[in-house]
Amino acid sequence: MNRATRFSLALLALAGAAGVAAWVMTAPATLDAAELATLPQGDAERGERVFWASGCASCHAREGATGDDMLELAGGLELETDFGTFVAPNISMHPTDGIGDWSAADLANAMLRGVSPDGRHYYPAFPYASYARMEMGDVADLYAFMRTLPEVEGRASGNALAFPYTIRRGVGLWKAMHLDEGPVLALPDEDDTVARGQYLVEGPGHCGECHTPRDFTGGLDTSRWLAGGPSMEGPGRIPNITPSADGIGSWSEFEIAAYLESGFTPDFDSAGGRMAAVIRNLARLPEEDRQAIAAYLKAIPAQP
Amino acid sequence: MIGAEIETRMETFMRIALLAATTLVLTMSAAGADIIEERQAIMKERGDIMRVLGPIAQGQQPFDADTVLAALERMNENALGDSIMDYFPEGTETGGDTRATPAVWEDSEAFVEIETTYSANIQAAVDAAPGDLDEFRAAFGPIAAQCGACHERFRTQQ
Ligand code: HEC
Ligand code: HEC
Repeated sequence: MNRATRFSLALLALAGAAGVAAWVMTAPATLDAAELATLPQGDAERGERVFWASGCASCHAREGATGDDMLELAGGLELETDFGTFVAPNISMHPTDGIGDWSAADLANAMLRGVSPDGRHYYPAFPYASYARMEMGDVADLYAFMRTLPEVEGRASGNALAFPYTIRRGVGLWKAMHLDEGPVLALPDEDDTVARGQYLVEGPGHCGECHTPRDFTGGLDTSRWLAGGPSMEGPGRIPNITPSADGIGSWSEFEIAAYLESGFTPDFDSAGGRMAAVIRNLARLPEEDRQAIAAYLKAIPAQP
Repeated sequence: MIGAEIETRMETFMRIALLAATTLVLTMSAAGADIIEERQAIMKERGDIMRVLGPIAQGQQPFDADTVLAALERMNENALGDSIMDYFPEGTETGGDTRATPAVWEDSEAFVEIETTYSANIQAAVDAAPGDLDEFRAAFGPIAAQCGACHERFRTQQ
């Protein structure tokens, strides 16, 4: 073997090792047995509250659905982004078109790890990067509630993505950078109300997915938490909701909680865009949850 | 000689045509701007009325039957029913600082339906003439829901 050949072989081995490392690094990681053992028996009644707090209906019910139609999770909503169009699938209890044959563990893996029952990555358009902060008990309750929902027939069309985003395995890299189940903010001297608000906003409420600007890798720039920015899909901007002059610093806690229930701003303009569906969900929560969210939004650092 | 004369005539004709076309374009865009301002003024008035009714519905201001009825009647006059597209003619998709989304024209049927429901709900509230806070809230809820329903698809996000 001459020197050049040896060198090429070494290089090839190195590239191979890097490839293997990348392949291993991007492998979908599910919850392990010990974690799944903490999944309790769910309670459907409590699960309804989790359902409204986490806004599944905003994406998985038919677009613009109100009232009981919000419980028909047929999918079909199209999210048009720079990466292509994501389509929310049918997650009704239909055994073949929906997720009627899923176990609670399947749902937990999807919501907390972004992994499907057949071991593939979901795209983070499904906001599991936020749901990853949810408690096992809440996922179990949500599962119990979803089992009471109707079966809806029909599959939504698949995603229409641009290369290289069509490669699901690549999501593993994104997860390595951005999937973090710890709290976003460390708030000093949190009282119970603010702590509840923090859980709701950073976890199930997934408010940051729209209200926090993203960096070039598509991850949330948490140093600008809830500071608003350009909309990920479609024209327009998402407002800053931190307590600053550019945000909602002039809104009282009462006014924030009232907005989350009725959509009325302190100036009695009425909320629109994607926020309208968010409010239809939040309006179904007990008053104390909206107050907790308002208290948290008052307690976080102001952003310009 | 004759050729030159025809040329001059042609020139005059062209000038007049050009002038006419320019004037037409100018008046058209002025009309477009006017109508955008007009529909925005109608929406602003809705905001003014909401600032009277909203705080009462939220219990921030005391319920007063006369105040409420007067505001509802003003709202009724302001409502456009199925004639709302008169304020969104072709050619006013952009311009001014309009926040109307393309869906207004692409799905005008749904757009008109929301305004029609909104108007009918107001008429029902006026006819009911709410006598206490609960009656008022029951009549006001369905009206307010249409504001959000419309802004959801037909107004661009901030
Ligand atoms: C912002 C929109 C959005 C919200 C909110 C949302 N999802 Fe999804 N969901 C999606 C998208 C998009 C996908 C498809 C992801 C993919 O193709 O990888 C998805 C996929 C799923 C799947 C996988 C279905 C399958 O057939 O493999 C499940 C299960 C699911 N979501 C459940 C939920 C639940 C439960 C909630 C509420 C707690 C929720 N989603 C909230 C957008 C959303
Ligand atoms: C799907 C995207 C999305 C999600 C999720 C979302 N929002 Fe919003 N939010 C918006 C948009 C868009 C607006 C602007 C609404 C408009 O144009 O009327 C908005 C407006 C607001 C406003 C009013 C700001 C202002 O200056 O008018 C508040 C407060 C708010 N959101 C709070 C929240 C909270 C709390 C959550 C989580 C429970 C949340 N949002 C989740 C998209 C979102």
